[in-house]
Formats: sequence, structure tokens, C-alpha cells
Amino acid sequence: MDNENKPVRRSDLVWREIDGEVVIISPDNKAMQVLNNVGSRIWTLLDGEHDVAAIAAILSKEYEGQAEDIKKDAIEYLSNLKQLNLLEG
Amino acid sequence: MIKGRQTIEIGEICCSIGFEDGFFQNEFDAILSDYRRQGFCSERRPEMTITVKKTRPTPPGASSRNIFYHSLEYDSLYATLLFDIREFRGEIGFSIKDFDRYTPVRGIELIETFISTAYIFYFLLNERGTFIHSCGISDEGNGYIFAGAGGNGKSTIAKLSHPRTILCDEMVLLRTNRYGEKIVYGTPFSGESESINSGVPCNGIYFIEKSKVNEISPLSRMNGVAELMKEGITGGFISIESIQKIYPYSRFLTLLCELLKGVPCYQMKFKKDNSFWEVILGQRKQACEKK
Repeated sequence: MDNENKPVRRSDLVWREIDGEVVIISPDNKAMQVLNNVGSRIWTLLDGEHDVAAIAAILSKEYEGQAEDIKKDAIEYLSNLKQLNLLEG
Repeated sequence: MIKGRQTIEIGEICCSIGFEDGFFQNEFDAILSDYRRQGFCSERRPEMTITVKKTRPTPPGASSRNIFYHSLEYDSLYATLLFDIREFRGEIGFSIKDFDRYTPVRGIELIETFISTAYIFYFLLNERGTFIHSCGISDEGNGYIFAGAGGNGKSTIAKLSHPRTILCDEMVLLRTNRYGEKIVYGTPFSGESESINSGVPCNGIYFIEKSKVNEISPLSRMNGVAELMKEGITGGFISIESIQKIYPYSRFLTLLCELLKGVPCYQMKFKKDNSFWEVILGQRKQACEKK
């Protein structure tokens, strides 16, 4: 996942955010994911408007930690979401 | 000619059940006497009607978006149900597949399943509530829901909760009343214990698991919603998957998110005695004192 990439949530997924947590349902196989606080924040940024660097920069402002570590974790998390087939492309 | 209309009540919503030419009426009377004893019969004007017929209804036209239609084979019978989700009127018709094996008890099971299906549609489509595969207990007017799949201990919880009131040990209704309160109701669709037609404010939903220790840990509202989504809607004929065209996942998710607002959810491991009640009530007392 490179810095130019602007990851996007799959448009056919059903999801809701409440109290900082997101639940995602995949209509085809009923698989459900409940994302933790940070994961939920990343999810809300997957609107095709933010590349990886922008996502990492926002998280750095909102959460404690070294910027490079946050970016590395964000890239890994996005990779996991892609493996779970929750992203377009 | 429709004979012998009887009205039942679940969650303060009434459904009138009629029998074409008395078909299945005598057999169903035994079920109705159970319902009556538990308080689920009513004289009030119904919000829904169901008719039991000797023949199976024909499929609706392709443009009939308001009609839910489902055919199935069950043991010695073919049955078809047709339900108008706008008028909340339905019919169930039968034909006998195997006369040698035919027994009316299967038809009765299907009629009862259809009643629960009609109620599920009513509460979902009016965005008021949902049935939950669970045991509901009332403790001094405070309602507690113990949810879990088969074998997780719902019937055990019911038996261990004496002398508290068992609302139902298999399926309860959680709905919002006209005042916005979240109320848990008993239903007549019970397992091993008698139910009661009563509704009390819901104090919490506990997702249960048998254990050697009592352990109760809070769940976020979203995790509570996810647990309920996993269980889906119980009711025999329908699952949330099968009614996607009428009631999509997104709508069910929204309903559950609203329904669980203000209703605490917990993961509960419990020992096979009634000591889990001390933990539940101890936590409740602490929560009240903090307020």
C-alpha cells in the first residue's frame, strides 16, 4: 500500500459507527467485523479522499505515538482490511 | 367460511387467527388453551390477521412487492405462507404430502411458526423491536435478557432463577414502547418452562456461556449489536438473509443500534447455580450508587 494510494471502503458493505466503534457487515457472506477505536477512525477516513500519508498524519494528531510507528501500523491495518476484502480494488 | 377467530397478544400487539371451515381449529385449540393460561389471549381489536386454509395460496405476481411468499415441505406436509407486509394480513395453506405419515401436530407447529413470523415482520417493519433467541427474567419488575445459541444455558438460567418470574425461556421480544422505554416481553414460544404475557423495562442483555465461575464483563453497544446480528432473527420460516428484499441488513443494523441505546450489554460466564444473580444485582446496585 503506497502513499499515492487512496484506499476506499467497499460500497456494498453495510456499516455503522456508534460511540467510536464501527461494525461492518458483508451482505454476501454475512461476515461481521467490529473495529476497535483506532480501526474505526481509520475506517471513517477510507472515503477515497485520503492517501496513506494523510491518514497517518491525522492519526498522529489524534493518538499518542511516534509518527513513523503510527504510519507503519496504519499501513499494516489497511493491508489487513484489504485481505478481509473490505476495500475496493 | 372462516370460523372460530381467536385473538392472541404478544408485546401488546394483537393477531386474530381464523380457520377456513374450521380446518385445524380443533387441533389448534390445545395450543390456544396454553396461550390463554399464560395470558396471551385477548379480546382487543387486532393489528394483524392470519387465516389457516385447506389449500395453498398461489404465488403472487412479480410486481407484488408487499407480499412475502414462502413454500416449504415439513415432514408429511407441504405448506405455503403468504403475508401482506403492508396490511399485515396473511394466510397459511396446507396440502398433505404423505397420508401414511400425516399427523396434525406438524401442521400445528407450522401455524405457530407462522404466527411468530407475522409478529417478527410487524415489529421489524414498524421499527419497534425484534425477537431475541433468549431467556427473559423479571426480577421485581426489572427485566434481564440472557441470550445465547442452543445449549448455552437459557433453559438452565430460567430454572435457576426461581422464584423470579420467567417471561420466556426461549424467545423474548425487545421493543420500544410509546414512551421510548425499552421493554422486554415474554412470548408464548417457550422451551421447557411456562411463559407469561408480561413486559418489564429491560435492565440488561447478558450473552451467556456455562462455566465453573461467575464472570460478567461489560460489552460496548456495538459489540452487543454484533452479538445480536450473529444470532439473527429466529422465527422458523425466516432469517434476516431470506428477507433482505423486504428488510435489508442496513435497516436491521439501524434498528438494533437504536434498540440497544441505554440497554447495557454484558458477556456472562455463569456457574450452574443461582449465584450469578448476586453478581448481576451487586453490579446493578453499584451502578445505581454511582449515579
